[in-house]
Amino acid sequence: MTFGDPMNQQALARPWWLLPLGRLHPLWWVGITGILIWVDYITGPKTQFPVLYAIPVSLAAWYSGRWPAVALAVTMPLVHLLFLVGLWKQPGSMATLATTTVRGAVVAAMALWFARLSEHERELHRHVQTLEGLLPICSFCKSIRNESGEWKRLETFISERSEAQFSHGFCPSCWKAHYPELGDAPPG
Amino acid sequence: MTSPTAPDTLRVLVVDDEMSIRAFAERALRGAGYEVVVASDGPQALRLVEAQPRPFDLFIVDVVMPQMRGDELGRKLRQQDADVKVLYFTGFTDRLFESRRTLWEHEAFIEKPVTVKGLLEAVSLMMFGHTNGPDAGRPSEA
Repeated sequence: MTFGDPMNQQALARPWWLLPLGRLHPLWWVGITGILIWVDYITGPKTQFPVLYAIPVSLAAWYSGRWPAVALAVTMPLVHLLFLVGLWKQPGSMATLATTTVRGAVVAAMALWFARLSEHERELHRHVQTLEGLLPICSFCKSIRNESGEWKRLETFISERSEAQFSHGFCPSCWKAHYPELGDAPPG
Repeated sequence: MTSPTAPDTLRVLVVDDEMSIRAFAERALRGAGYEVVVASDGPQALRLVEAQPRPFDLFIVDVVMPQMRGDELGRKLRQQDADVKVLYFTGFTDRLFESRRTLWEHEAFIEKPVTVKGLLEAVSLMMFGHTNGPDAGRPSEA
């Protein structure tokens, strides 16, 4: 654990290929789904448009969580199936139904996986944020000032923001300085 | 661990997972005339309590310890003896009040670190009601 170490901050800088963190309202995906369905319709039954479903579903999972993404993953293959059978008059068969089901299931599974990755990424980011940067610390007692302006003992501050726990003891030099009447510091 | 002492010497059990803290309390209290036994965790302390023919007069207990927290040990000791005296010796006094708002009767806490004098005064206050230690005489038996 390093505080305010520029080398460490550089090592933890977010790489360009990772999606930036943020949140989008699920209604955005309703609009985007509408556009995709329209594009699917105008490109017709001969194209392999459904392979592109993966992109908006992944983005929805990343920015809006699992349920908007799963809804998107289920809706788009279903609408595609309706186009095939209802508008484009393609012969409906068990194979078509199976393809649609598998497509929907795979994209939905991907949505769940991406949503979980996104949650994990955000959790890690919160941890890194709280234990990075310049921390105001009292020169005498080593207490740290938190976000609300309260002064917390160093060990309390770190324990509240990480998995680390502290066990108080005495180092040999402090033992010697504070307890000379008790003899030599114990080993260990 | 136990020094040979007179039968009426007050007996203290020190429970702390840190060896330096156990050594500090043991040496400070022995120097003041107490009989001291140490344990490194709650389960060991409970085994010692069961094995001892004479009950302990005071328990000095750390709060944050592996296996069993100090306040949990205090609760178990109280189930066995309602008049047990427990002095919590901790660096995290706030943890002591996570699950309750006040200490029970015959309980107190001191925060690490303390001076030898500070520890002896706290122990004396719990045992005799004053800070002068066992040499100042015990309260009336009546």
